[in-house]
Amino acid sequence: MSQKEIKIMQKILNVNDRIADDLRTEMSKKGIVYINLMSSPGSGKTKLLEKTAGAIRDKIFVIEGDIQTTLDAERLAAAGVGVYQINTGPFGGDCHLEAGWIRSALEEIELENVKYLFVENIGNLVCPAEFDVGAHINVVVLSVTEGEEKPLKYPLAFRNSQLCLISKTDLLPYLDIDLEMMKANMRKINPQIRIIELSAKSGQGIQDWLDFLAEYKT
Amino acid sequence: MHEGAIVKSLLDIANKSFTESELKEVNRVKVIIGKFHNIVNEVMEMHFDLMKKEIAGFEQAILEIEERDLIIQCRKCHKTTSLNDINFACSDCGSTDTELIHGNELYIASIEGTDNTK
Repeated sequence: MSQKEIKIMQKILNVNDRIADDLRTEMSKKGIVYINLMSSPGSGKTKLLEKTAGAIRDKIFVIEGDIQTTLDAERLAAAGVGVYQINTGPFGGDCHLEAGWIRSALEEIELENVKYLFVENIGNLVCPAEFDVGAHINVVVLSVTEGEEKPLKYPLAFRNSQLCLISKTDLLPYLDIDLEMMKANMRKINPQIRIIELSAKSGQGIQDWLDFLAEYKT
Repeated sequence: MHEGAIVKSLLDIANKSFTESELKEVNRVKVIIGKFHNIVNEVMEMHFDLMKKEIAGFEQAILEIEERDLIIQCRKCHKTTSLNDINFACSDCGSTDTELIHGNELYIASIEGTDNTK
């Protein structure tokens, strides 16, 4: 009996990455723009989606990720948005969505005439950034109340996103936040990141967000 | 919090290699993890120690984590910079057109164990 080492040298998440690549290809073929929204809890993702659905002419569909409850899905359904809820709570309470979850959800979803498919990822700036869900565009939402330093504390989410939406800008008059410092910190992590300041409440910046979506080609 | 899902994936790969091998049992699983991933080694080990008990041949295995520091390479002057604070700018020419060449690793490197055949 002797000691033996077997070399493997594989990406640990290679199965997830393969499913994600397949999903991206599939959505491209269907002409659907697929967007993954990531943020901390309470940054305003659901409100933004309500606002987006009300302002956009094209049909959208949302896959809603939460550990518990269907509250966000109910809000979106009330706004007339097609929505599918994934709760990870009964399955170990994962704090992020993986490509396999999305693939399973899509088997039950009718995407006819849908132009934009959104994943509202589970509220958490750490874990969702690690798992490619196959989206064309990763968007990180950071509200102005969260602090300038958050991009430095959660670099992967900002490095792996093409767009950052700085949300709740209607609150700026009441805060001491240094918005330029927040943006500079984002660019330290990801010099190419596009940044849009918006408020789903006041409507500021919403048109820039819609223009960004409209300009994207799959 | 995502360490559990990562450990599950790495054990799936390790177990596949183990079952295709002539090893009698696995006593070490080596992984390479870049510091960009916000992974807490102790949490990885905790999940590993829980999950290994469910996999025949892995009950005695230990997880060995090799960490990789963050290193960027400038696309303009090609100099490399080791990052202490996360700022993706070249320390030599200041360009932000850089590539992360180390620190983003998330690999299973190998499994090690006793070979039954000799």
